[in-house]
Amino acid sequence: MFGYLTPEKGELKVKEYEVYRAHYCGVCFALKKRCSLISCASLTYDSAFLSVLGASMQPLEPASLFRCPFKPYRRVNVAKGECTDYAADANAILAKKKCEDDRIDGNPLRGTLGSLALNRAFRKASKRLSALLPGIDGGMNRLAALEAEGCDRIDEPALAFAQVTESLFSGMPAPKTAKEPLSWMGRNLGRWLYLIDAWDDLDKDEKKGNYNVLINQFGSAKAAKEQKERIAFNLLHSLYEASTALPFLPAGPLSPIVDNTVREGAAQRSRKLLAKYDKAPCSTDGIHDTIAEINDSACHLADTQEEI
Amino acid sequence: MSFSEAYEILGVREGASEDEIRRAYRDLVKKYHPDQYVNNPLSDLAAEKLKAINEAYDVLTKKEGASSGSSGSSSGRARYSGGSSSYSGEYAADFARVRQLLSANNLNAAETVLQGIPLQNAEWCYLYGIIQMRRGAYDSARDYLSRASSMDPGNTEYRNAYEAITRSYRSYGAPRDGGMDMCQVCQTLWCMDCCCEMMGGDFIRCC
Repeated sequence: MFGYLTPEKGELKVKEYEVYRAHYCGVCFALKKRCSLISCASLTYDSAFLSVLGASMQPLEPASLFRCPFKPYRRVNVAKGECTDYAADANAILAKKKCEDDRIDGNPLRGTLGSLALNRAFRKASKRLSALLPGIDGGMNRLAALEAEGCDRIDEPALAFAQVTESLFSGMPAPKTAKEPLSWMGRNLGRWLYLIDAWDDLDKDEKKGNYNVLINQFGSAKAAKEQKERIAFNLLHSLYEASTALPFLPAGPLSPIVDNTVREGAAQRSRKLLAKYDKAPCSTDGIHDTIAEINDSACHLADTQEEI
Repeated sequence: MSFSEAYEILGVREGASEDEIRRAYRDLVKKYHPDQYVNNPLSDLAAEKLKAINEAYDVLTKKEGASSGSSGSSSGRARYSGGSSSYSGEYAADFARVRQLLSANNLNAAETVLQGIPLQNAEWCYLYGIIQMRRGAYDSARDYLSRASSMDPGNTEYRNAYEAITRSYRSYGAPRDGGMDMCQVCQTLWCMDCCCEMMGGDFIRCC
């Protein structure tokens, strides 16, 4: 998972936003406690969503105040529970898989280092979630095979990754009746995550020569950008299908956060990123790249500041 | 079904007025309406929910046994049962078999039978599109459904399927406000002022 799945902050109530923050910190705390200190660096917003999703189907547990180990001058609300622990394990497994993927395709140095650093966390987490490993490994192996052969059909790698998220969503602690909707939601959100990541990284992947299914299907990053309408359909239809699972999940005090993330947050993120290449003049691609990079790092800075 | 169960299903407090019950009922029917669950693995769950909602509504409005309202309990999949297609060309028996397998949600078998048909006509494209749709391969699903409806533009089944898949995403997560920023608001007011002045009114006094 890549951190694209966030709620639309402006549409949340303040108390809901606080609960969301508590889950974000909660997953980090659980990573530290259950996996390893270093695995906290791999924390993503997607795992926070996973934690909130699980907690939304259970009675609300009060969060408690703790001092943040990375910013000791701050005390933060930390959510605790089965779902937070589950999300932390899922985060550790996915981070490790992503590093292994990086090692083969993309950034070998970062991939190798990350993979080594996450070894301990992965070992512990995979012992606890051993029932899900066949599904996750199956999807990741298929994804690696498709990347190796240079697959040029959008659906295939997206569905391979969807298999990974499907097993993570359907394996979470939840009432039995929620399993089928959860797995449908996980499948479609995984598809969305994979494709929005591919769209977001078009320029970067073309420059570095990494595998990107959109470049393979349409020939080049530029040609892919011209297929905006088709990508929009793929992204938004996946979200629409994911949202059809929402009415079947048991409603609780945290359901509005889940609804918001799937219906508003993810959709707004798609629309924002779809418009990303709109203003790019053809002749000044180089300049635009630089601007995009600056923007990217600015966004990153903003994100980090937000975390602080 | 007891009264308290029925109230719980409709999500209204006990002793709610008829108006409240009707409103809750209408909202729930909208939420689980089978039209949203065509080609969706959750269609059976939706049909079950809808059935319970209808029963609860009947209990509360004391119309036991009467089928109520626009809801119906037809699941999305029912559309494929028993060769409901009007198709009667070549390989009609094979196509009917594919539809049967689809209604049993046996995607792999349906695809094997379909791949065995050498004729790639509109019906073939439509059924292949539906299989891809159920799999979650929306990109190729849309492609095949659009091919089917352009090969046979008169067929409402093909056209509806294509329209359904293209309609859902356009409105999804569309920005809520009209997207007018302050500049546009001022511009509009200014334009309005200019036009009104020419017609004898005045919207902004000073200019």
